[in-house]
Amino acid sequence: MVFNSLLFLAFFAVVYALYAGLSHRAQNRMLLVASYVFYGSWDWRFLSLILASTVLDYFCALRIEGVEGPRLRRFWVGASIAGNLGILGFFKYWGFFTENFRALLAAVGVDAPLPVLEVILPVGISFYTFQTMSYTLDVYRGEMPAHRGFLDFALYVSFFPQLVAGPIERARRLLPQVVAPRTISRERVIEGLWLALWGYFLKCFVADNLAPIADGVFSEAPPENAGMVLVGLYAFAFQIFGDFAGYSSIAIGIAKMMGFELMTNFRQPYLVTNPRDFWAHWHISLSTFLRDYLYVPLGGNRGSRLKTARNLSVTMLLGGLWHGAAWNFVAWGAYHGGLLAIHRTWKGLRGARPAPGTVVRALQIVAMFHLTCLGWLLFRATSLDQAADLLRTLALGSWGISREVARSLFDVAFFATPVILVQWLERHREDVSVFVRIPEPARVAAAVLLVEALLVWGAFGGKEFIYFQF
Amino acid sequence: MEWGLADVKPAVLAVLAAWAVGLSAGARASGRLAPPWRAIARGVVLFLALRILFVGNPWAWSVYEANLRARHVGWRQMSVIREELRSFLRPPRGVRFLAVGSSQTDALYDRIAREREDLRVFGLAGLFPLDFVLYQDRIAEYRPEVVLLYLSEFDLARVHDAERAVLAPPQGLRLVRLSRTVLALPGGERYRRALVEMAVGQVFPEYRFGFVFRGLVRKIQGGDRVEARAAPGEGPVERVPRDVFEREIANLRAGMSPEQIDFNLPFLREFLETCGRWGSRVVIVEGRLAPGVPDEAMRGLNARAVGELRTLDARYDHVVFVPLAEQPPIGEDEWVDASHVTREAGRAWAERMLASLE
Repeated sequence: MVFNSLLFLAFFAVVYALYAGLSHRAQNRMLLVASYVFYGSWDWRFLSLILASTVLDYFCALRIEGVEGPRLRRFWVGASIAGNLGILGFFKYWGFFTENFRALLAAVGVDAPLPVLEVILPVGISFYTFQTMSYTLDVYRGEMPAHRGFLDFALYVSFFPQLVAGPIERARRLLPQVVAPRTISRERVIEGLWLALWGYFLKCFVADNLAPIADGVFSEAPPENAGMVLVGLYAFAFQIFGDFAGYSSIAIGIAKMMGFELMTNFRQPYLVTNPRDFWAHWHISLSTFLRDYLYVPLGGNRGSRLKTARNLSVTMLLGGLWHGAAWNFVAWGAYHGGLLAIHRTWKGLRGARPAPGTVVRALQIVAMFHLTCLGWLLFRATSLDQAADLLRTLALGSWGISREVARSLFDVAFFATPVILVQWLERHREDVSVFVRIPEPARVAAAVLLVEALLVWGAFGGKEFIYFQF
Repeated sequence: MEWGLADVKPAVLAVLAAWAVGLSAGARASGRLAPPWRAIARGVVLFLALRILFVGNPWAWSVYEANLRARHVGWRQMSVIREELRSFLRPPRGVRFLAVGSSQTDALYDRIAREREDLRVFGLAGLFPLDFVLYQDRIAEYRPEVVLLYLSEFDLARVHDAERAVLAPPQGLRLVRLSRTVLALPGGERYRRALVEMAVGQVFPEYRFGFVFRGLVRKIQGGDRVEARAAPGEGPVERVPRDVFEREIANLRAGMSPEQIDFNLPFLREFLETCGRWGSRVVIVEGRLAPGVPDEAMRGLNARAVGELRTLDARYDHVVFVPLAEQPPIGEDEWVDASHVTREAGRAWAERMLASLE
């Protein structure tokens, strides 16, 4: 049941109507049932996994708090991590590791018939396993107490707006909102509706209309024109942003309508000037998770430059692998790790400098956008071979502006311009809910334009969100 | 299409005037509301005003008709644009013959229809029996004495594009019955999504006519949606190259199924019965394809289709079936492509055909 489907709209209408009329306790129970129905609509068999992950971390957290001595506490947090990563590892990485292990053995002349399993990847597994792990880790660190109410905890894990593609919510932020009564205010409903409308615009107008251009470049017959490859990267950059930020916006919006405040997951990531800022503005819930639970425990930036570079690289490598069981994702993570390490080193060597002027800043934004697009080439490629081919075309191919290139560039500009404008407005006003705060005539015009654009150009084929595959 | 203010239906002008008055009153009244209702009311007024401006008046459709071509929006869509414009205008009086059908019908009757006041053509690219029902209200406006249909396995056995159903005019509550009928027929499941989109399109004509605005942008972009072939009515039609002809033959043969005949027949029967209620007679002329197109499988489908059409002739008093043997011939060199004759050949054939019917 994807957000961009009539079935989901009908589902949410029923859920919201019930929600608005129930007491707090009944709301939580109803939301829990609704969340399991939502998740089970993909495949009812997935429900056992999310239930297993929920039960595991519920009990591990209680044991962490209930036992004496650091060894036992470490044991229970280890059990939680092992259990969650075990589930994730089996369902997501079994094929990848066995295939590569077999290839490695074959390279040294050993033929090892390892079991081949057709494992279905449960949707959202990367998100909710990280979410529940963050809970046990926070309890272990003493940052929050273990929660005794199992049903409320289960709702925290399975809360349907953010279950399958984030934001990855920390328990100390979301769990109290589950536990405490919530208010549905008119302001929240309006703001939530705006966020949802913008999210649908990003998904159905921007992402799904740019997808064919990107798919054409990353197809089995990729273009030989470097300009077309670049246009395809632009298209994918806005496709993945529209897709992922669109999902997050819808999730945050419908949660807000129910009185929940989810974290902002994107803050104008294509208007940044350096790699560090990119990761502070893109998929913020994942980057902060990796920072708090991997980078900092590894040592963060507290050691030498070399150690910091190592910590950055390991974090980004694993961050890349989180996205998918394929070498191109690892390459993408390594690429961003390299960018971060280089940026950090260069900053350290350069020292403090005054803030750049408008023109320099604009050039930095354009440069960083293109560096990001290069990373997206690795991310979107179906294999390392395809990535290499496309890089070769970019470097050595012809840059002639053919009719096809010009038309595709026009399309990218047409669908991406509203995104850039709104992003600029959000940055200028330092407000991600910018639609709610602009003057009324502009607000009315914007709402009508968004709806008209969705009706005329919206692709409502129920095309899945890219991040569902993670 | 040439027209003036006097050609616009009085009811259309009255509705437009009512909208203008209503929307201005709405805009004034919204100013007296407290936020957020004021913003919501103003949004609704603006939304409806844009709807009237862009899809709710004949002048807008005249602009689209003048500026768009089939290569921007597609063959059927171009037909729909012309039909939407026509729907705002007074229907012609004294229509004796109304040729209803696909681009094949257009190719046959288009030329002679310009010479005869008593003959009109209701042709939409890809029109097939379900469309006869979906467009029956528009067809009824002509009040024809005789409805001319040109049918063969090309219309009855071909797997038609379900997405085109979205472009049909609003059906009102009839859509519920039609949906049940469609979904119950063999192959009807293919239309499930199209039926949902039709329902959305009834409420939101912006959605139904989105192809117009996408086409305008495409025109600005300089891109083509389909092969840059002129659609029927867009000017001189050239004979297609041999390779295109071969490709069309392959597509035609691959795109036919006996199941489609079972799907289409109920809608054809419904349309024939509706014509009977209007008091119109129906002449079903057996259709044909270019020589060399039908293979053994298609000949089998043709035999079945013709058999069904003969049955309809026997069943309904107001229906007559005219087989190929009773029609004027069409020469081998008179075909533009696998399914359409040249305009000259069409005109000659139609003149003799109408003479025989008179």
